[in-house]
Amino acid sequence: MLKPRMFLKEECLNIKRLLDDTLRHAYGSAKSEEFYKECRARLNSLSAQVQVVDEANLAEIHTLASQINLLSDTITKIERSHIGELSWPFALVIKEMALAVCRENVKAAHELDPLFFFSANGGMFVYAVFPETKALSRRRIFNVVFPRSFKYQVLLHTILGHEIGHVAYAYHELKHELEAKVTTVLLHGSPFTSPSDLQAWLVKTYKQTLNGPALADAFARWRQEYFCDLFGLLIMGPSFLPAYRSLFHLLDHRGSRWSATHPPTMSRYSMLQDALTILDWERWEGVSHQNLQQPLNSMYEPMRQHVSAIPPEMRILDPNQVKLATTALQDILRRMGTTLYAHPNPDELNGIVTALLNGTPAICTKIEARRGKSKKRYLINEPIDFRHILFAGWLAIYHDARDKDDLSLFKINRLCDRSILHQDAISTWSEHFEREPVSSNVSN
Amino acid sequence: MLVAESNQQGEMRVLYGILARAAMERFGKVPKEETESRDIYFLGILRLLDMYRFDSIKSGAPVGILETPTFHPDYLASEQEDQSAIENALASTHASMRPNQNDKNAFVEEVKAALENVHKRGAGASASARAIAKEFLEGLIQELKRSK
Repeated sequence: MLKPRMFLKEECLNIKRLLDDTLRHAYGSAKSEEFYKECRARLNSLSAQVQVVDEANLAEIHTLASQINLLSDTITKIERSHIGELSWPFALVIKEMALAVCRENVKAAHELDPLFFFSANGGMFVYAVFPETKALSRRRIFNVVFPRSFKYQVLLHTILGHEIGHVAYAYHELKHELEAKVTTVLLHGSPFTSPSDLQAWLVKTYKQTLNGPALADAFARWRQEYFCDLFGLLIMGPSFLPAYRSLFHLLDHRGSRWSATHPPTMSRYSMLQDALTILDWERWEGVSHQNLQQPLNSMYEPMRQHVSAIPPEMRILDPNQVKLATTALQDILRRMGTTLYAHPNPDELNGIVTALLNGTPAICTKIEARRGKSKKRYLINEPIDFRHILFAGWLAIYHDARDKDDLSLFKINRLCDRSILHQDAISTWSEHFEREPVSSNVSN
Repeated sequence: MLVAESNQQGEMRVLYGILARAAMERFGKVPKEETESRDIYFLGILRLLDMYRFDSIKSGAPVGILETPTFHPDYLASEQEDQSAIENALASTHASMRPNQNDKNAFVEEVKAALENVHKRGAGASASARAIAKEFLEGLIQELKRSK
């Protein structure tokens, strides 16, 4: 048998070879160098500890082995992440959003920014953002997972807003603030204010008895899930709910399935519908565009009816508390760049919906009229928020004018995906060539 | 089970013990040497202090997956025992260093400032920062050992 410490030394050398073979080289369209440096730093720190660990200290040897395993697993997953398996325009915008939420140290922003890699897995419900919390790390590495078959289904990807809520909970200072100002407010007066309240409610509602660690775990997880639902809605906007309901309806068609890790789905639908009403996103009072009102109503009316039929015991959270928590979370999100969703101008949204129904991507870039003596023309970039594109995509799906044979769900998703891509390209171009004219030799 | 969520008996408390010891061993070294490893050891301890300050140690790891598998009660019990041991070790270190100071925030601020000073300046750190950081790390190592 190999002596454990010798074995670990050998494995550290193996991982060094693995690292040099893989992450040292180009990785997708992202920079592999940052991943390489982070993994190499982790490996160096682990190797140094393996050198000095006492051969007789099996607990430490075991813990180092576990950390070395974790590093090997991370490198392998990064190596296997193929940008071609998912919508990379969407991956880029979600990365920017997650970064705004989870920048750890403002003073050292960028230097200690977490790293994100994207991968695809089989199955419709594999959406995930794994926040790394137990690794020996300098910069945290997060893995965002999309369903492989949903490569272009960007309208469903808004569910990742919920998962970014979990990322926020991985940052202790932010989590503390979110717990105090949002989650506690949201759940005030509900059976989820203490483990004992939850225990009593579970016995009464599900005839389930949880105690000790299982009760503590369920209590923490359920509270976090409600928070993440509200968080997802506020960062992704109105298109969060149709994606959420589409997926959860397949996961739990009755909405009352017992799970120790997630609260009843019906109670979550109910909370989200209340939040939607508070935000005036389901009716959008004052907006008369029929192009918007008709699909908005067609999309939300069945959800409204479904929620109104939810039994009182599953309408767990008080709408007044939902309102207070929504306001509190909006205040917190306002300081995180453009993370908080803002409703579009109705005319802009109307234009995007019309473009999609005509089968064209939604970006409408203008070229400014000739000006000055040179008669040069300039490109005007008025960036469209990707969330407005997705909102328009959902409205196009529910629009009576959609030719369902010609403009399939796939095509609308694809158009939205292209729109996000075009917007990114225009913004990149605009950033670099803002002062350059589109054409310098224009004839009258 | 996900590798990222694996947690053997008492693993995290052992890991923090290793980190604290590794940070201690780098007190006298020039910060330019093995910078990245040095960052990892000190950052691990600084993050732990934030978890203590914000009562995050026992509240469980965040999950970011649509449909999470239910964890086995034995796993949960082991994980929570581990978390309690870490929290108790920090609380005991706090109590022994500053018996009259109940404010976690003030304690963490003081220790973090000392650790950051030693982290950045190595042997050039101020004597008081070195003394506070050393007392904290030694206390933590002892308390974590005691909990095994």
